[in-house]
Amino acid sequence: MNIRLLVLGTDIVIVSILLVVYGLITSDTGLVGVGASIGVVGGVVVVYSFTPGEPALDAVLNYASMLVHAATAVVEDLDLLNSKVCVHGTSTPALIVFSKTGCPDNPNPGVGFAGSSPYFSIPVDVFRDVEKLEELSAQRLEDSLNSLIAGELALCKAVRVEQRGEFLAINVIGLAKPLADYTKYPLDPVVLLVLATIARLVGESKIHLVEKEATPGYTRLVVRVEKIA
Amino acid sequence: MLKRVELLILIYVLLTTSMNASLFILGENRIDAYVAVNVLSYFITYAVVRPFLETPLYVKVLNVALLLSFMIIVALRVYEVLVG
Repeated sequence: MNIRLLVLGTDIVIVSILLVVYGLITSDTGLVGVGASIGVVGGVVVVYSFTPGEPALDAVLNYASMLVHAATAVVEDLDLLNSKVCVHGTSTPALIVFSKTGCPDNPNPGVGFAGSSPYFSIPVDVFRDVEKLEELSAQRLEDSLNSLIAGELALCKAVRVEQRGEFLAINVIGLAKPLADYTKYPLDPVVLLVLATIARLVGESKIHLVEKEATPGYTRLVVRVEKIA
Repeated sequence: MLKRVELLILIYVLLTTSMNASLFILGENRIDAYVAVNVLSYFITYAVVRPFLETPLYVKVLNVALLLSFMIIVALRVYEVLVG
């Protein structure tokens, strides 16, 4: 909520009421019309004061950009630019792992080695209080992702999920503009958030990113969910 | 998001002020004319600025309320013309 706009809107409504009353007293319907019109403006400003808009949004975006560049440099140094991405949903927080040899068992946060192959893992703790899905189906996953990714985070306009055998195709439609610019980076916040959210919804599992296709404003992810008993 | 909302409010207020002043100077006495032109200014500004990626429910409610009021005003005018 924006208190500044709320106060401004309320003030405008009060002035409009005074104007309407004065217009009625002096029988000036033109003035009453102007007052009514100003009242509508006040009402609109009051409604728009409920818009969520954190003043720190720009700072957070700059910080995200800084982190993406830093993590990309690490991924480049480890020669993991064309690596496979998976999410370990078994640990808390979930770990997003970049590795050339698939999903290593029991990875540690940060840089590590599975055999002789390096991996880079990022701990991600999102939607801590969200309930796990009782049964994994495309429809249920779509509903949950729409509620969390599109509704709560306003990251995109909609999410569509299609079941293709053992794979799930996640279509992230209408990406928010500030995040659309990150699709060219190996560490795309949209991909990381979607994968971490799926891991949180599915519970004890490994989520493997099989394919990623990104066009401006649209990202398609094909994932395989490996349940761990 | 807030920047776009502030832009919308700025353009809307500028449009409304100029419309109200013009109508008042022209000697317009019908209250509904002021409100109708105001609602029109709002929708023009909204269509141009597009402040939201996903329109929140309270703005949808506001839009419907303003559209309904505009429709009622226009319907009453048309009815007046047809009857009178």
